[in-house]
Amino acid sequence: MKFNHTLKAATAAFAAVVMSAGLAACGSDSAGKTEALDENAKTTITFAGWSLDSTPEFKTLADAFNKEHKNITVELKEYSADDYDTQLTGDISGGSQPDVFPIKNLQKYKTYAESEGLADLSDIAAEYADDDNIDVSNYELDGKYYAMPYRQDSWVLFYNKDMFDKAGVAAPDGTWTWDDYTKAAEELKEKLPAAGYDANSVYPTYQHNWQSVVQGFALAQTGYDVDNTFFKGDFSYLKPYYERALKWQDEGLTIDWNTSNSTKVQYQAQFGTQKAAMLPMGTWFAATLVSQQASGDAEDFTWGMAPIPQNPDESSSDKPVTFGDPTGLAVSSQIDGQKLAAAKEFVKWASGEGGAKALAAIATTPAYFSDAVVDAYFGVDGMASDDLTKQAWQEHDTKPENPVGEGSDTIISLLKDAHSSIMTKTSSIDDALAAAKQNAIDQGAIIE
Amino acid sequence: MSVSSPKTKAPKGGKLTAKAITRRNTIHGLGFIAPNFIGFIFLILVPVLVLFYIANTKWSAFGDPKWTGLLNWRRLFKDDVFRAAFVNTIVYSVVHIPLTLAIAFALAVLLNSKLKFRSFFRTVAFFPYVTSIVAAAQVWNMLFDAKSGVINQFLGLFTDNPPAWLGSTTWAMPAVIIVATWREVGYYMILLLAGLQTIPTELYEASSIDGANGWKQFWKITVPCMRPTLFFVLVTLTIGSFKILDLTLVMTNGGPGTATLVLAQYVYRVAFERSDFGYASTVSLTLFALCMVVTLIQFWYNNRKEK
Amino acid sequence: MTAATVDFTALAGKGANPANRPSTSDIPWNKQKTSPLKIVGTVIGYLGMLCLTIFMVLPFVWMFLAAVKPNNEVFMVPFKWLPSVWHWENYINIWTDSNMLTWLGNTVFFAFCVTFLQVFTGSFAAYGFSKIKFPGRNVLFLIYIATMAVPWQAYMIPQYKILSSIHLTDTRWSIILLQAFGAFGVFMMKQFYDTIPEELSEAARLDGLSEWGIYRRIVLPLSGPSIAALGIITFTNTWNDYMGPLMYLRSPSLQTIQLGLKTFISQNSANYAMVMTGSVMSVLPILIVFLIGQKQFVEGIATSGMKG
Repeated sequence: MKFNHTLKAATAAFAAVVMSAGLAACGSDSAGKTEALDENAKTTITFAGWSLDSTPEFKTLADAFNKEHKNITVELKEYSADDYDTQLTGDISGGSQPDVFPIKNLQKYKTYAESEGLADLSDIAAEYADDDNIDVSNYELDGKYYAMPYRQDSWVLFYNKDMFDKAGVAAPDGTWTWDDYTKAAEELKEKLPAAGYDANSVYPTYQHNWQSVVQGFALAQTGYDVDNTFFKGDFSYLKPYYERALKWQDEGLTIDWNTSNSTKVQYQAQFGTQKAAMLPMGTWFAATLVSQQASGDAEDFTWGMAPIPQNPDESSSDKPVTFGDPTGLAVSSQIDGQKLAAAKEFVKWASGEGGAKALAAIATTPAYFSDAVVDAYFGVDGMASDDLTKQAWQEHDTKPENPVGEGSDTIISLLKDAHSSIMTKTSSIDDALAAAKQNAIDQGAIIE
Repeated sequence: MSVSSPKTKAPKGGKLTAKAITRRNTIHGLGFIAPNFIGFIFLILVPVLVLFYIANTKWSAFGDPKWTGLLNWRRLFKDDVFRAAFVNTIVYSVVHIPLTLAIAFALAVLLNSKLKFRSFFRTVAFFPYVTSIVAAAQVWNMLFDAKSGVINQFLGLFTDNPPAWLGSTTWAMPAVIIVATWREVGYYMILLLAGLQTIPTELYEASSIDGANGWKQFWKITVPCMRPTLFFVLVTLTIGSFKILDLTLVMTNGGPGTATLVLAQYVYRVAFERSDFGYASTVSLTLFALCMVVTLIQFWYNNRKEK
Repeated sequence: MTAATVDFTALAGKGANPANRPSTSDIPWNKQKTSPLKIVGTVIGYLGMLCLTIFMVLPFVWMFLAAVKPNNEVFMVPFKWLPSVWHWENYINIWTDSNMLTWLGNTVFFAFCVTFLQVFTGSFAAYGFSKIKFPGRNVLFLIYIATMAVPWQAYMIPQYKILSSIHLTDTRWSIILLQAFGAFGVFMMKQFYDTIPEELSEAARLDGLSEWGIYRRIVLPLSGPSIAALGIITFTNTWNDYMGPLMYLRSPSLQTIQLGLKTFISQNSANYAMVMTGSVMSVLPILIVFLIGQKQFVEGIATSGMKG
C-alpha cells in the first residue's frame, strides 16, 4: 500500500497549491490608491457585456467614452445574458474578472462587494453627494461604495393604445389602482373580440411568470418596512397581491401561469404582436419595443407607458410607488495605476450625464436624470412621447426589487418556490407562505 | 512515467518470485494508468477533495472559506426543501433506472440482430440524445400542455379528467421521467450494443447446436457475457439518475413548488443563486454518499456474482 | 442481475473450436425455420419499430419544421405542424446572421481533441485496471468511480481556480483539459476489456509478449465497437456541453456551438424560427459522426482467430 501513501501526499500537495492559489486570488484592497489619470498614455480597459449584438448599450458606452478620451480604449468582453452571474462568480473567484463589469441587481452587489474583488469607488460617490439627478445610496455598504449606478429601470404599465381605442375602453390615466386595472381588463376581455381580436389568443393583459411580477409590487407598495415583514418571515403582505393575480388568471385576463412558464412565453412577443393590451414590465422593454417595431419583429401600433397601478387598500405617497433595481458598474480590484484610473474615469463618466445622454439616445433608461437626458430619451425615433408616458418614466418612488441583507438570498429562493406553488394552485396562498416562513427559519435565514 | 515503460521486455513467466511479479505488474499497471491519472488527479480529484473541506465551512466562492464545523450538517437535517429534493431524486431514480435499463437492453438486443434497416433504427434511437435539450423540452412541454397539448387531447378520448402534467405536483414528476427515459434510452442502447458486440459469436453457435432456444441463450449467454457491460451501464445510469439536472432545469425548473426539484438542482441553486458554496457542498456530499452507497452495493453484488 | 450462472471459459473453449461453426447467423431468433407465426411477429415488430421511430424523432421533426415556419407560427395555439409558408431561406440566413462557422469550427476542434484524448488515455488506463493485477488497483479504481458521483456544479469553482491559477481560463486548453480526463472513459473501457477472456492475454504473456504488445496487438483490435461507442458518446457530450464553455470561455473567437446558440437565443428571443434553424444545424454534425461510428457495430467479433 505504498502507493496510497504517495497518493495522499501528492493530493495534499496539490490541495495546498489550490488553497494558496485561492488566497492569492483575493488580491489586495486598492482603496485609497487614487492614481491620477494620465490622458496621454495609451490605455486599454476591458468591459463585460452580454448579448452584444442586440444589447447596444455596452458598445454605445464604450464608443462614446472613447470619443471623449481618445487614448483610452474600452474593449468589450462577451458574457452570457442568462448566466452572467455564474460566469462572474467564477471570474472573481479566480481573480480574472474584467476591469469594468456591470452588476445586475443589488442582491448580487452585496455578495460581490464582500468578495474583495471590487475596487472602492467612494471618491466617485462623494462627487455625486450633492447631485439631485442621481441617487447612489443603494450602493452604500458600511460607508463605502463598490459600484455606481448607470441604469435605473423601474416597472411601469405598458399599454396598447390602439387596442384600448378599438375596444372603446378608457386607457390608463395615471390614477389607477390594481382594482381599476382589473376592471379595465375585464372590460377589455368583453369588448376585444367585438373589435376584431381573436378571442382565443388575445388577452387583456400579460402577467409574466417571474416572481417579481407579484412580489415586487407587494413589497414596494405595502410599506417597505422589511425588518418587520420580509426579514421576520411575515409574508402576509403578499396575500392580497396573490389573490388578485389568481383572479386575473381564473377569469382568463392573462395566460395562465403554468402555460406561460412551461411553454416559455416571451413577454416581448406577447405585447409586440398585440396578443396583450397591457403589460406590467420594466422600462428596459421600451428600448426592445422601439427596435422591434423598427425591424418588423413587433407589429406597428401606438403604445404608451403609464404609472404602475397602486395598492387599492392603502393611500400611497404622492408619487406612484414601484420597484426596480439599479444596474451598477464595478471596477476590478486586480488592477492598479493608470489602468485603475482609466477604469474609474470610465465608471464616473458612464454613471454621470455623459453616459446617461448616450444611453438615453438608444432608449435605455439611465440612472442620471437631467433635463438634457430626458430630452434625449424622448427624442428617440419611435418612442412614445405623450405626457403620461413622460410622467410614468420620470416620476416614481422606486424601491429595490428585494431587500438586501443577511439571509435575503435564501428567503427570495424560498418565495420563488411559493410563487410557483400558488400560481399553479398546488398549494393555497396561506399554506405556501407559511411553508416559506418555516423553511426560512429552519435554514437560519430568519432569526426569531 | 512514459508510455514506453511497459515495453520493457517481460521475463518469461513462472521463473519469477511472486514479489517480483507484483513489482513488475505494479510498474506496468501504473504506467498504463499514468497518462490519464495525472490529468485526473490535477483536474478532478483535487477539486473533489477540496469539496470535503468546503462542506464544513461558510464560503461565498470568494476569499477564504470560514470553518463552521457541523453547522451545515445540522442545517441539512432541518431543511425541508432539501428533504423534498432528496425524496424527489429517489423517486425519480427508482422509476427511471429500471425503466431505462429494460427498454435500452431490449432495443440493443433487437438492434444487434439481423434486422433490416437496423442502422436506421439505431440512428433513430440515438436521436433524442443529440436533439438540443432546450428544443426537446419545449416540444414536450407543448405536448404535455394541460389544455391544448396533444397528449391530453388524446387522453381526453378516454377520460374526462386528464392530468395537468407539469402544472400538478403529482404528475409533473411522471412527465419528467417519461421525457428523461425517452432521451436516454438511445444513449444506453449504444453502450449495451457495444457490449453485445464483444460476445464471441461462437458461444451462440455452440449452444444452438446443443439445442438451446433464443430465450435460454439470452439468459445463459447474453446476460452472463454482458455482466461487465451491464454493470457499467447500471452504475453510470444510477449515478446519472441521482445527478439529473439539465432536464428538470429546462422542463420545470423544479416546480410546481418543489415537486420536481432534485438534489443536483438544489446544489446549483444554493451555490449560484444564494452564493452559499459551503452549504451547497454539504448537499452535494449527501448526493455523493447516496450514489456511493448504491454503487458499492452494485460493486459488491457484481463481485459476488463473478466469483 | 440474473440468477443464471454460466461457466464462461467452458463456453469459450467450446466456441473456439472451428468445427462448431455451422452457419453465418449470429443471433438466436434467426435460427428457427420461418413459420406463419413468425411472419406475423415480424410484421408486428416492424410496426412497433415504426411507432417507436415516430415517437423518438417527433421533437426533432417539430424543430425542423419550426425552422422553416414564419416566426409567429412557431408557438401558435392551437398547435399546427406544417408552416403556411415555407421559409427555406432561414437555412441560408443563419450563416450570415450569426457566427455559426466560428462556433462550428471551435466545437469540432474541441470535440475531436477531447474524444481523442479520452479514448486514448481512457483505453490505456482501462487496460491497466483490467488486465494487470497490482496492489491498490481496486482502491484506485474505486476512487475513479467515486468522483463520478460528485455533482460538477459543486466543485466547478475550485476546479476553475486551479485552471485560473495556471492562466488557462479563456483558452482552448481549458475545455480540452476539463473534458479529457473524466472517469467515464476509463470505467467504460475497463468494463469492455473485462469481457475479453483472460486466457487471451495470459496466453500471450506466456508467449513472451510484453504488456504493451498485448494491448497493441490483442486488446486494441478487439475493442472496435467499444471505442466507437466511447467516441460517439464523448463527441456528443463535448458537442452538447454548455456549462463547461460557459464557465471557461469569454473571447468571441472561442465560442462553441451551444454557447453561441444560447447567445443567439437571447438575442433573437422573438425570432424562434431562426433559433430552431440553429438547433437543427447543430445536430447534423453529430449525426454524421454517429453514422460513421456505428459502422463499427455491424461486424461481430470472432475471438477465435486471435488465439491462432
